[in-house]
Amino acid sequence: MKMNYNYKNTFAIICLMLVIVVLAPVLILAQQKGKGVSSEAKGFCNRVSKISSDTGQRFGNRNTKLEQKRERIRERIEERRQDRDQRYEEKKAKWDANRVNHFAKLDERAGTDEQKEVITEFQQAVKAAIEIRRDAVYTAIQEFRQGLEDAKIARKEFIDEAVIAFRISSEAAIEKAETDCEQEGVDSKAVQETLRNELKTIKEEYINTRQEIEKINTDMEALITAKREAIEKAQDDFKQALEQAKDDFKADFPEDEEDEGEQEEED
Amino acid sequence: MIKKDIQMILIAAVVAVGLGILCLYYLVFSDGGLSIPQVSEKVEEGRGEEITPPLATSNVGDIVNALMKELLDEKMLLLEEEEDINLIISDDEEIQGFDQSINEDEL
Repeated sequence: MKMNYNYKNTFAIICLMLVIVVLAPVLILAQQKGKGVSSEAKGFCNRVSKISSDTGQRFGNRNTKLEQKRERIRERIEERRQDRDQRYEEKKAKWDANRVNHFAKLDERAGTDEQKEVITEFQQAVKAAIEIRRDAVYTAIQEFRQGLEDAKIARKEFIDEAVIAFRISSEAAIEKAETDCEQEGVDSKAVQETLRNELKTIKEEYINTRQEIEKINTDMEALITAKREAIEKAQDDFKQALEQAKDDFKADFPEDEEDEGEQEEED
Repeated sequence: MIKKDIQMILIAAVVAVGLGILCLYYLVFSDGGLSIPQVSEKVEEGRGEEITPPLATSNVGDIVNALMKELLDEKMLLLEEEEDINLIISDDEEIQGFDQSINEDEL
């Protein structure tokens, strides 16, 4: 008898669980469908409060995601800049060391004081040209980075403004619908239709506004052009200075003509 | 005893399935559920090839050539700066995501 009682209880629990398992998806689907279409006249007004809170929550979630993304972008840019700065320093050190070796070889050619002076002048001219070029490159990079930071801020402000406008307008429209629903004898369907049209317009406005961000993207492309031109100029000036130093050297050190093409390679 | 074990297993299975369905519901339909990994920000810098400096000689022409190679090496690195723009605009997906704040299906 006791066993029978236990068996019945267990069977009842299993049945209950099975009912839950079977009903859960049905209820979920019903809930989703229920969100879409209101068959009863009062249906929308009964749901408008939930629509209001759900919409607010979605805006909040999107905002959090955007802020998190912005933070990741900021960190990544910082990391990349540090990495490039470090590599640039390493490159400079690598080429400086190579130049020191070249200059040491050149020094060995100085047979007279005059030749020594010509070599020193050449070396100083090259060093000065390198310094000028590196300063110009540094300035170009700093200006480019500052320009990007400005564009990033402008982009953020533009988007934030558009999102706030979108959110305020949407919430105001839903709030109005809530107020309308409280009126005596209200036509719930009409309120729903009005809200749907208003939100559609508000959403379209947001989409149109955010597409204007392309202008800021174009500004960033202008920064690339400016940076490239500045670096191009720095390198062209350097080449000219280098050619001048080479010509001066050859004019004062005619033996160099004979050595053209010969290479005393260092092991 | 065996019957009791079977009963326990059945109950556990049913509870597990029920919980699984509830979890699935949360993941699929709630806003804060699935977090789609952002791949756009993982754009790695296109590290250009390193240029090896030539062996040192006493020839001025070789020195000038070495300095010209340095220019190229420098230029390749400086071009990488521009990739930061792609990173800055990689929040596009999040910005567009606000469109979904208004769920027309629930209206």
